[in-house]
Amino acid sequence: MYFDLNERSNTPIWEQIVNQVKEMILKGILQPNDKLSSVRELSSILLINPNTVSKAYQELERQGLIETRRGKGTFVSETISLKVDEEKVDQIKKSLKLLIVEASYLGIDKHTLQTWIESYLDELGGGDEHANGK
Amino acid sequence: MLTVNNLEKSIEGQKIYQNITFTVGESSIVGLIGRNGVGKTTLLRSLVGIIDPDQGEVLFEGTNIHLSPEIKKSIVYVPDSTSAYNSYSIKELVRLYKTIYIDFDEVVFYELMERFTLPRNRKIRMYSKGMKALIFIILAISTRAKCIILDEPTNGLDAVVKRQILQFLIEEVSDRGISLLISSHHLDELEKIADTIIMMKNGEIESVITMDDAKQHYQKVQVVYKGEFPASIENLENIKIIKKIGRVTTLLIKGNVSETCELLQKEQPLLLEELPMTLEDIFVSALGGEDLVK
Repeated sequence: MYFDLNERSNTPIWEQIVNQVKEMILKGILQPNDKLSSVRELSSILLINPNTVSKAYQELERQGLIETRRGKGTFVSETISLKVDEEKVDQIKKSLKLLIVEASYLGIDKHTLQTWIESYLDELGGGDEHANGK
Repeated sequence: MLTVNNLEKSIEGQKIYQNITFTVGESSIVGLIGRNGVGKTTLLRSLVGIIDPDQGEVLFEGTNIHLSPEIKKSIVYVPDSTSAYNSYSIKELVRLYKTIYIDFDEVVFYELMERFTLPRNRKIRMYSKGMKALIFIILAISTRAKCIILDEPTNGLDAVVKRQILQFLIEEVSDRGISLLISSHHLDELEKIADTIIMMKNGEIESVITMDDAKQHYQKVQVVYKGEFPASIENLENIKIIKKIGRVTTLLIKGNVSETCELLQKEQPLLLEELPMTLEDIFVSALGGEDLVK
């Protein structure tokens, strides 16, 4: 697992870990049943407080992306059942709206925006597979 | 785990520190920062009973360490200078530590010496600075104490040894749930490994910040106004102006971040943006003064 943490960012380190694990799972760098580094290993490699790693793992577990198997370690969940977080969805809708408003002032047309969105989704390997069946 | 209540100390009629109250929780890493000469080392030495405070108490799991010396085996201090041990050999040092710390684990000690490929048959003065730093941390870990107090553990060490030491300490915290109290001037290091930061100013505790809160309580912003910088904002108590270059003012907001940002916005700035913030910004704004060195 490779992390690129920015301690100057206003996003707390634990949240950066959560986001980057999610990205790695979407991109297939981490696949179902892959073992994650232990809290001890990861905190030692990244030189960060072990509690920070624990907090990130707890959040990922709460979101159903990873699971702890007793005595074996932490793994990417076999079936990723993403929980719908209404608040988060709302937040995404709002920030997307804001982006589109700004984009239109900059003269970026609908077609360009759509191409960008599609290419980002492609980059994440389809991207909407988790949204199916909801 | 370690509780400090109202500690106060004067030396030769001069107050070194006062009103010192804080706690260090289990498997927690606490950073102690403050300018040179603010009393950090004296405070750390008081926590392990090298110096007796005039007032207040230091409790380890509820037991006063100055009244019940036997509890001191649970706390170990790694001083910033180890020159007092220069004439000791490793064997003699181990014997000394074993006499003081009855739980000292010799097997662990020699295993760790091996792990860091440290030669054994030398006098302390013959080791390099980095090796000495490692040896004294290994000694501290081998005492099996639950709380380790480190005075500037990475001062003057090269990047490789520094990393080795920090990794080693982090692993011990996560394996055995020990606690660390670290005084340091390497703010970037502490920022990542500590969960709590204690800031000292003029012999007192200026603030205790948990790293989770730090980014919510403090915000660094850059703001540009068309005319003069509004006096109503300049007079706000929770604002500290870091620098003004032309129209561009950089300031640090301490507490009430969103309300304060609204106030800044009300004065119709040409530009208002958040800047990335580090512990160093908080340090300089909270502890910096006109006086250069104390």
